[in-house]
Amino acid sequence: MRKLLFIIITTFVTFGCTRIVEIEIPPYKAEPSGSVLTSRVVSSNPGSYIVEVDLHIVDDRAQYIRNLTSDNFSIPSSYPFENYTFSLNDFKRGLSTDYKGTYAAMFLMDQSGSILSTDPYDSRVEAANIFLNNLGPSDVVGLSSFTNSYFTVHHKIGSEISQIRSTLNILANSEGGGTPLYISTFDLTELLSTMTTIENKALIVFTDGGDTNGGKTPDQIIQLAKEKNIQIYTVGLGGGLNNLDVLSKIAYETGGYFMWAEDANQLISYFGTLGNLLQGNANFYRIRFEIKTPSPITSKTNFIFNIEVALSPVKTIKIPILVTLP
Amino acid sequence: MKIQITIILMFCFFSTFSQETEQETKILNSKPKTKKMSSPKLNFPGISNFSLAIGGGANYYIPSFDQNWTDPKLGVGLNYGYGFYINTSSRLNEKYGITITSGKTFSKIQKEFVTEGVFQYSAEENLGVIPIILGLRRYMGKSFYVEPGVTIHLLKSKIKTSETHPFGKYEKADAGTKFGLNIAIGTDARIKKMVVDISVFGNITETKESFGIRDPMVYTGMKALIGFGKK
Repeated sequence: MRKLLFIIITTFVTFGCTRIVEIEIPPYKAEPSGSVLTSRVVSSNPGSYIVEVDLHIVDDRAQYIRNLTSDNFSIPSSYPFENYTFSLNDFKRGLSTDYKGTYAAMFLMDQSGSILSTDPYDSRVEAANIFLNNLGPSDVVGLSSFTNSYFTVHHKIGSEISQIRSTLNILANSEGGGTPLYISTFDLTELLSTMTTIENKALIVFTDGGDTNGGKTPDQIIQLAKEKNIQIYTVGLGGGLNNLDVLSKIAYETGGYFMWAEDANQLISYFGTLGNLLQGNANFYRIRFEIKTPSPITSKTNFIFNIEVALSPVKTIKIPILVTLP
Repeated sequence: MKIQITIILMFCFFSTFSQETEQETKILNSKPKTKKMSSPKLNFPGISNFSLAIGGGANYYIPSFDQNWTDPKLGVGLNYGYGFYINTSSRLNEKYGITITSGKTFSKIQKEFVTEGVFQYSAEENLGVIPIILGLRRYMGKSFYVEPGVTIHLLKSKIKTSETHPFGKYEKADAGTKFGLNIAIGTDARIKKMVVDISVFGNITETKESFGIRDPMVYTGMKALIGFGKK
């Protein structure tokens, strides 16, 4: 009897203590972020549309936030959709993207002059470095950037990581010129298709503004990316971005994902989890909601609205969603 | 679905056993009338050989099965849980018994986030697991047993963050249920009316989402119970 009591007490004492874990976090300031994996209309009736959205949400450490509930998500009715009503009607969490395996990723960094104001502390460079820290042993990357009227490939796919890091540091001090977004994305898509035999190829396009040079259209980019089997991940930075719909569309239709960073510090968490998204098996939330319009939509209409995710009573992030109503 | 099949199989197993019991009783009854029958060893299942025991136990969540449950950097960060168990069992005959076990185990994880050794913020997560286990005990010898069973886990968690946390100071509660399969190996020694039941066990849950994690929760553990029994 005494022995038994001894065993029970010993068990409690041994295992009853709190597990205290020290987790090292980097010194730079990062903010939580959310990316849109896909958005689709799953059913439609005149004046009523059910839309399904997949979201990947990470904290400042780039870790998937797993314990949000439907109460944390809301869609405010705001201009120009004051007369629309949005209501959540289904919510799932902990889902995983398909495993894609080893990837080949090419960065296309925006080095236009506007970056000086949207990313004054070069968070994009820090973010890209964090992405490089998380590469798997077989993953390969390249680096290119656009400025003035065209793009430059600094490092082809498979280059030494240390060289890419050096160039990133140079890019931090060499901004200027316009935003040749479409022509650069198009031509680099073509070029990327010839650079590697790895099937899981992705072009990561980072920009803080709309295209200034023309030469190609988003539809041409999408068509080429589909032909060449290249996923385009688009990353938009800054509150003044007026091409969220274009960036979203390019990502959705090529199998890539779209992320908008209102604050440059969100780039750090997004790029920290980008490897998970590229490789697959990344967790996500699936949210279904109903949009009621004041009158039936008569022609195909694209519009952007925000999902607000309240991570805590004092921390909310906005995720812009492109919806194409049929 | 797998759980449902298991429950059905166990039900069939019990039904088969009941038939065996009836047959054995008939055989006993068919003995010559001249020989006085001793009081039957096998009464109606569950009435005799009843025991009730209570005690403590500990769980160990196995890291290699799912990091979302066990790695504090990626997920909850469970390693050990401790708590109490209560068990009722009924030995139906020499070979079989049925048991219902419940209790509650607790795990507390304190995550302290530091930059170059300097404390930045913390988050504390408490997880309570109430397992309800329905088991079929197969005795091998007098008291040694192997017990497969089905489990319902009622899970509750609470997260608290410190003031300096990037999300601010807040508390968040969450709850979920998970079905699972349990296997225990142990011994329930009976000394007069006292029962001492010591076992080790393993449990794997289904992949239904709880706390945003769909992977199964896999754990092993031990429990030591003491109580009384009626023969």
